Amino acid sequence: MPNIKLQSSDGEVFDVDVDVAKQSITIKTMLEDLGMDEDDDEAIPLPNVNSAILGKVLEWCQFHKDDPPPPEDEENREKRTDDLCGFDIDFLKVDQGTLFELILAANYLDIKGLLDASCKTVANMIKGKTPEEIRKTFNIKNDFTPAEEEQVRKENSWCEEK
Amino acid sequence: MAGQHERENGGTVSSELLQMLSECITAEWLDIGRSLKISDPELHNIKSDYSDRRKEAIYQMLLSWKCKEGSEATHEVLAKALKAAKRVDLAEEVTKSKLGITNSSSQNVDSQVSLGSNGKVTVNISSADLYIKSDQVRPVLVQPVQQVVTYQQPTTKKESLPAKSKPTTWKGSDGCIHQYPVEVTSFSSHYGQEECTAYIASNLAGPSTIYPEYSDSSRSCVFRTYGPWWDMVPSAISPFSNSSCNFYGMDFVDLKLETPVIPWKIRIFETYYPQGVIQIYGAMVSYQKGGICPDVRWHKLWEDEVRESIKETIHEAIVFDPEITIISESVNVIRLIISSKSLEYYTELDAVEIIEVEPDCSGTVLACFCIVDLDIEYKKRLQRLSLGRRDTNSNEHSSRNPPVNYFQKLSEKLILLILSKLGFQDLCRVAQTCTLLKKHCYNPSLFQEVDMQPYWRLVTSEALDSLRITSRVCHLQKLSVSWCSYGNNVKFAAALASLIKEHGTDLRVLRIQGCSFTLDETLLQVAANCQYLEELNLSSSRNVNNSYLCLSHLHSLTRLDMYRACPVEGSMTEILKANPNLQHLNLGNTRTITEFDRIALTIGNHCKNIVSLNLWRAYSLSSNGLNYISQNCIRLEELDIGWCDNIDVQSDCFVTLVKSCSRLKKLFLTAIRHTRDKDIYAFAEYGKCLQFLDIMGAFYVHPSSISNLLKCSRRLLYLDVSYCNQISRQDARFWQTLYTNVNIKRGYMKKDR
Repeated sequence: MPNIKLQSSDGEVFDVDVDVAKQSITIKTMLEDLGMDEDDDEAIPLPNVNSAILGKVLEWCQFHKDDPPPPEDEENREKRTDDLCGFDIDFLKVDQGTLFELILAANYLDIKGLLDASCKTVANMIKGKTPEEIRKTFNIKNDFTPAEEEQVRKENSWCEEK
Repeated sequence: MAGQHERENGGTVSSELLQMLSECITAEWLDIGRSLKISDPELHNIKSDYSDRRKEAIYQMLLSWKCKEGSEATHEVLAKALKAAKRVDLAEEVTKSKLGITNSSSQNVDSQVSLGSNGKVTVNISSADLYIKSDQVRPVLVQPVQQVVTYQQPTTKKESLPAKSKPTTWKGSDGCIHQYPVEVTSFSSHYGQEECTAYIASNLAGPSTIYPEYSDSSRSCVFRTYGPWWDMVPSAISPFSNSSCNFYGMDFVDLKLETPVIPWKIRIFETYYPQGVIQIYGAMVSYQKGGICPDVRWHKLWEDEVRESIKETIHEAIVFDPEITIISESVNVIRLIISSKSLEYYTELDAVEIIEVEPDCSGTVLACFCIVDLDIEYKKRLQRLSLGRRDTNSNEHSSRNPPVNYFQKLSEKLILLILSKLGFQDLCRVAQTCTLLKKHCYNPSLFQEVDMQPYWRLVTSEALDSLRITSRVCHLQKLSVSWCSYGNNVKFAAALASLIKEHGTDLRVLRIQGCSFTLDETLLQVAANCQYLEELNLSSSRNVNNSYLCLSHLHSLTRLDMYRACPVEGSMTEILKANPNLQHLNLGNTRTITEFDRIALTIGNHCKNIVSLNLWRAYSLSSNGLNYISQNCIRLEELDIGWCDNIDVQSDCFVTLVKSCSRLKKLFLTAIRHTRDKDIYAFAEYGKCLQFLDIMGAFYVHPSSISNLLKCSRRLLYLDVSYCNQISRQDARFWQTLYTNVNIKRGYMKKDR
């Protein structure tokens, strides 16, 4: 298998199997459209991803390299979040900083499966929690004025046990 | 009423004891049977019926003895028979158990309490002992065992209360008032039909009439569906994309209590294929003038933790006695949630007995149970405390390592992607955290599909109003308020109508199942605003005066469910004429339609694309009506004409049907007595797509035609031949071993030899 080189924002170069890297639609497009040669020694710069995150992303791509392509039909895909595979669940047991960085990286690199799995993980961290618990989990500052807070509470209070 | 029970069962042996014995008895079982005066032919039948399962044979034999002897089925007689068969050990066990239990399992608490005066401790231990034994041999009983054990403590404590604190109104020595619901006020579906008494939901009101008999009884409450089959047919409806995965209910039934109580125990008499009840809720409904109901607050009393997991089938009547949460308020309505998806046949409920917490002692009982329903003030205080804590925490953090809110780093697209994975309730919670997330949580793209059914107990008229006012639902495409609100809640009706008036333009799907509020205003708004509506589900929502006709303004309907609704022929034919693209139509149990042939004619003329048609209990349908449909609707894949016994089968209308509608996958001919072998041969020859066939109660169908059908119909998955007189249990069992892909149903019949 031919390899390509990827360079993270902090300058680290990763030597990667082309098929693994091509799960990133961004990289795939670069290779195809920009006519980058697979034997090229020059590393592809990825200025939005640091080495720690790129390492993680490639680990994910390595594991999922034989997955069938994700369904195109975005609309009909079920929005359930309890269908993550065991690998993904463990893989995404990381600190929040890393998790959100992975979302950003998956988005930038256009890796549907990873983006989906990481967003689901965040969604699962939200599910079933009260507003206060959600704030605590994600360090969200309550920036409502008392009047706004009363208003938003009124508009949504039906969902709480009274 | 409870007293009546005790009389009925006092002194006789419990099913659990029989169960335990059946585990221990071996080759001597026939001798025991003879000692119990069971005739040799009967023993022979039991033996052959359960040839491969001796334990079950023994159990059935003992059960048959118990049923036959009634109050004469005493411990003494049983012990004597066991001794005669040289099983002194078991005889002793039986005698011992008499001291421990005089009643069946779930009535155990009563018995313990009533025995309180003569050595309570011993009694409790011996009964617990027995249960643990049966638990070891039969894992399925584990749960009840635990329940029985957990109940002992509070019962004992309650007993220790000074006698004078018990008011004289207490019934029995447990000091609790027992009651049966007086009325079934609403429900989602039932097998029977309103005007009759067989298999209707209302049978759940009043005292138990079937227990302890385990049988298919017309005096029970039975729901319309069971098992996974209804999700596998063309008419199955798909859930909304952001529906809650935690919602498993298939049916509900509401029971009205005469006296409001804080329920202490709720005992559900399940007399056929038990274990269907998965949740129990209670509410206090204060009826206003003219029977109008306000928004009510439902309390969760119990929820099955295993829920959808496969349950081992129990072939015996049980009194299901879950450990319910003791709440701090009285209730006068109980809602049972049923899921029979994992059951092998229709579940049947006999009665529900509610035992109240004695009002003066509710505090004591609460303390005994250690179940605390935090009152509102306390909850608020707690919240305030935690709010305060949050502030100090964040101050601490900011001085050292400032916490990061990573949502601020995400683009709108990514935040919406995360939020799109959340259900309706979670979105409303996230909206309350901060201005940034509130803004995104109110994005109409997240509210295109709003399924309120999983939150039925929380959804109020205010909830609908707030969705409407904040315009979150301005791109609403699918809406379900099924099961929401209780009784004739006019505020809810008005809120729904306003919501549809304001935001209904894009609506494609509207489900209003099992609702009791007046629908007229809503239907008028639907007719006026929802020109693209494709699916309308009004099943079991019957509070409609004359507004069905306005639905003929709709022209895009592909799916219409009017099960148990009340449109008259005139309105219905107009609706059908206006919607030529209709594919799925359910008119099951619509008693207001008296000339179904007219409906059939309209379907044949105007709705030629029909794929599934449910005419369950459309008694007035004749073979002429059926022929219109057969000849014109050749795309038909699913037809349910169960109980349409006006059909003249001799006219060969079933043969015409399968010849003409070659795509038929599901055909339900339930209780059409005159279905012939000729028809079954035609199904085998022409019904190449046939997967689901129900000929329950076909008196003249013989094993030979069914054998042929099974041989020819390679796609068959489901076959119900219950109550087909010519087909024996042995036949069914034999076919089942040959055709393992087909789920062959043949319910237990009393007539079985």
